[in-house]
Amino acid sequence: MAVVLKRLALLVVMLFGLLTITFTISHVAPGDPAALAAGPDATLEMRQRIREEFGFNKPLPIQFGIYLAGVARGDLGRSVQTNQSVTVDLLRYFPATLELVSAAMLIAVALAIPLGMLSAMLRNTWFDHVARIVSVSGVAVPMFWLGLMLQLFIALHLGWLPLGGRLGLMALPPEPVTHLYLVDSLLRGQWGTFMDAWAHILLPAVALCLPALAAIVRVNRAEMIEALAMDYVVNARAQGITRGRIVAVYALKNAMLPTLAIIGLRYGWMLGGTVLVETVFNWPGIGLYATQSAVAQDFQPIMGVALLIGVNFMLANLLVDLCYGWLDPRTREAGG
Amino acid sequence: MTEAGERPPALAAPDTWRERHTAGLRQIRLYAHTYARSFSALLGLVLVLGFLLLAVIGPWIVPYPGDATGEVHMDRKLLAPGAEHWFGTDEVGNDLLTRVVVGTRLSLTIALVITGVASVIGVPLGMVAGLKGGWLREVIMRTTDVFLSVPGLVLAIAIVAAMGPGVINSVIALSLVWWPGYVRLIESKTLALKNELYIEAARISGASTARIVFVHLLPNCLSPILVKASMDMGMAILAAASLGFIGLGAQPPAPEWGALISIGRNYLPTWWWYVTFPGLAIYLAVLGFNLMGDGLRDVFDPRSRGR
Amino acid sequence: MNPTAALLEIDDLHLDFDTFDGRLRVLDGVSLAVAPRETVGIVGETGCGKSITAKSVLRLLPSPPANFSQGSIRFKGRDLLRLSEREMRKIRGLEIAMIFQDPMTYLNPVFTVGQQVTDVIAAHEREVGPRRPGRSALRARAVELLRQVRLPHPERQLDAYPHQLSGGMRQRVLIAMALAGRPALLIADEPTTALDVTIQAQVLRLIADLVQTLGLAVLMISHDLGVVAKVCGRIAVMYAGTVVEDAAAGAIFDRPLHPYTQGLLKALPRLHGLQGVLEGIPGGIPNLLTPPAGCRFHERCPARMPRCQGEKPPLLAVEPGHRVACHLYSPPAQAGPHA
Repeated sequence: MAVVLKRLALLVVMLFGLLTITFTISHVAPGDPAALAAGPDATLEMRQRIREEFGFNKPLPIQFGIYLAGVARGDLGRSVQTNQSVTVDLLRYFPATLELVSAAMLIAVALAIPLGMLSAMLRNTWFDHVARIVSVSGVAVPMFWLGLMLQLFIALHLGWLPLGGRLGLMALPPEPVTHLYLVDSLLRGQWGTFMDAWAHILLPAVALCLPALAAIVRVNRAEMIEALAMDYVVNARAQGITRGRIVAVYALKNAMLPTLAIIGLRYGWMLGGTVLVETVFNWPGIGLYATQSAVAQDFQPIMGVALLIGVNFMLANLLVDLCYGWLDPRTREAGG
Repeated sequence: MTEAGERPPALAAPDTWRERHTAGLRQIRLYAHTYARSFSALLGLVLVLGFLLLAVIGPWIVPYPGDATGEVHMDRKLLAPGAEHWFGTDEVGNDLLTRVVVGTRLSLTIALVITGVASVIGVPLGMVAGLKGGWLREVIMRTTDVFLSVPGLVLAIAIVAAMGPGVINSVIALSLVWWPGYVRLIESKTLALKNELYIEAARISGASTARIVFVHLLPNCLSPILVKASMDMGMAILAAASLGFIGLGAQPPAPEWGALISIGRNYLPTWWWYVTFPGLAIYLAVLGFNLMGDGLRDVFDPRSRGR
Repeated sequence: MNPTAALLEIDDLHLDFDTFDGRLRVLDGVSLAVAPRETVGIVGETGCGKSITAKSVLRLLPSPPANFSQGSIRFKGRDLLRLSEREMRKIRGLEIAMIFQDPMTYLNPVFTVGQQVTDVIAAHEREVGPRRPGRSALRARAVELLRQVRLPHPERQLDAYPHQLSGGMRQRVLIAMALAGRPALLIADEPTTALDVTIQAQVLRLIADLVQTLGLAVLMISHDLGVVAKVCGRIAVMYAGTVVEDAAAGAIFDRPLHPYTQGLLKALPRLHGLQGVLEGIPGGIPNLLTPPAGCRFHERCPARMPRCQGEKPPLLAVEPGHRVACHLYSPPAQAGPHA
């Protein structure tokens, strides 16, 4: 319990640090903060008005205070493009991103762990070498290019899956419960909508998950190899335990711990990748929101997205840390 | 034969350079042999060397040098890949092969600068954090942690958005995002090394901190730095191309790979080559650096090799 | 010792390791035997191949790079080197069991003691019987085993993790796991090296008692003559991959015949009486890449003869039950050029 509290306190400190960084970027970096907030089409008077309204002409520490107070209130600024409060926009677009990232992570983990185990058992055979090149490719392939290629071949050339968006043009989203179409359509028993949503999420999820899949395979493989070289494996063999059980139970549990850490890390990268994949597939999430704002030189939404993704990532890491402590009995003792 | 109590004949003192450095030479021989045993590592090396070559001599060997800077030939626009234009042409008639090859120099330079700046900032900071400890270490590590709490690309987008799009700004933004990785790596390595007995022995015999750093610590950090730098070259190429794709990196008519794909996207699916070839270039370049980094890691840390 | 009664018989075993630097000739003709209910010790300095010999019996060495170029390991008449992996699994734990040097690294840190012991029991039951016994039956048997190895509070220890136990307790858990399959032979590879001296004595006494109560045969590996003297009825001395002397424990200490054994005993400090200068054995173990032809000890041997350089001495019985591999005792060479 003490561990959880300690980590939460650390989280607050990190959040403060994050806000410092976002503040620095938006208020201190070269570029007139007022111009940034006002957008590219603002006139001189508009900028001056914003400068006074937001206090950009006040000393930095006071600006920081104003900024923090604003964030605490839930005020992240305003989007010039959508003419909405950034917070409202984020709330609207975030569920789509959450759904996409969850689906991608699920696919990645479900495939990566068995592949990693197999690679470890068949190490240095042709399977291992091919798997290694494939998994390194997964990290090397640009996500946005992969998305485009998938669109080109599977959506356009073969026509198997749709080109983009969350649902077909004429389809109606299910009544919102979680705002996750896959979940909601199941909850409402709308089977057709569920299949439609699945078809739409498949390509972007694959494009998004590949780097994570590759990274998890590599870590899992390395950890499995290390676990399999441990003395307790020799002991298990000497006692007559079958090889399958040694790999799948004895070694895997030891290998899962660092693998879990990498899963947490890749979640963050995946969040970053949504900026690219959502753009390609026209997926209405915060990534697309960020890119469209970037192109329109609409600054505040970008900061909002950065903040949201940062917080999300921190929470995911916290979760992983806690799981780690729960899985590894040795750290359980140390942390209490 | 020697009797008990008689001293054995003195060994001849090693005098040739070869004899003195036998252990080191064997180590290098072992590294090269191990590296060469891996097909994927050799593939990576070939790819990297190929791209390096293109970066250096590319602009001189391209078939249509004028197209690199965006000369307009509307009569040749959007031609499919063929004998005259291996990669086809773009919407103003530029030969795509030329633009991709010239883009190699751009991408590799960008990646080199990012990796270089990041390591030059990150390695000393990491070492200081590992050696000094105390509040200095706390400050450095907490800052690093906060930077690493936001996915790099997102932070870089935010920074570039604040500074305005362009190559220089995207390089600055990515360098700012990249250095914390090196701090973490070097700090943990320094912490581990600090407790090694030979460091204590050096300290006791009066070695200055500078000597300890340069003679003992740095050489031992070299292998993880090399591995990370190799992988980072690939990742930096990818990150720069991603920024280019969004439109925040190099601006047209610079033939940056990501920017090319961004424009090419408008010409899908009919004029598919515009997107395909720059993407292939990114893929192969990053693949090469990653495979090479992987190979280096296996060479330096035999445990990960798998016997 | 009657060879037909032997439980385990290692006959002229040669083992090579293929490494980056070349082919290491690790074992160069190891021959020894263990009879039922007999305790045999293998003694030698670090690097002499005793641990590798032990691991070879259960085929625990990775098979490239390990390569048995010659010889056999017979258990109850069957050559273990010729068995398939599946057949070996029926031997491991059920007929021959093994305990190891460092109980901390040989126990899985993320599973409880109970989980690891019951898993071994279940694995054996699967080989022997048709159905997997229920959870409570497994736990009961595990408690019984832990009690047998004199682990205090066995029911509680089932839920403990290895890092929560002391070194001696962990070693007992390893022994319990080894006994789960009711083996006929227990191989103990330096079982006390990682333990404190007082705990050493306890564990050795436990092993000696188990020999009595369970009728176990034991093959004990150690670099410590003192340890081996306590438990073993017969001792084999190994040097650089080969057995140089093999006799009853008393004979080894009272009448050591091989110069290496004599050197080892002279190097032992005495607990009582005048100490005198400790004599070591000059020189070091040979390079296994380019081992000396002939006797592997001859370069360090005070009794060296010209013959020793070119001709490897065979392991012969000088008296009943006392074998030595040394030209001091081998029959004179046939007319030959060794001079």
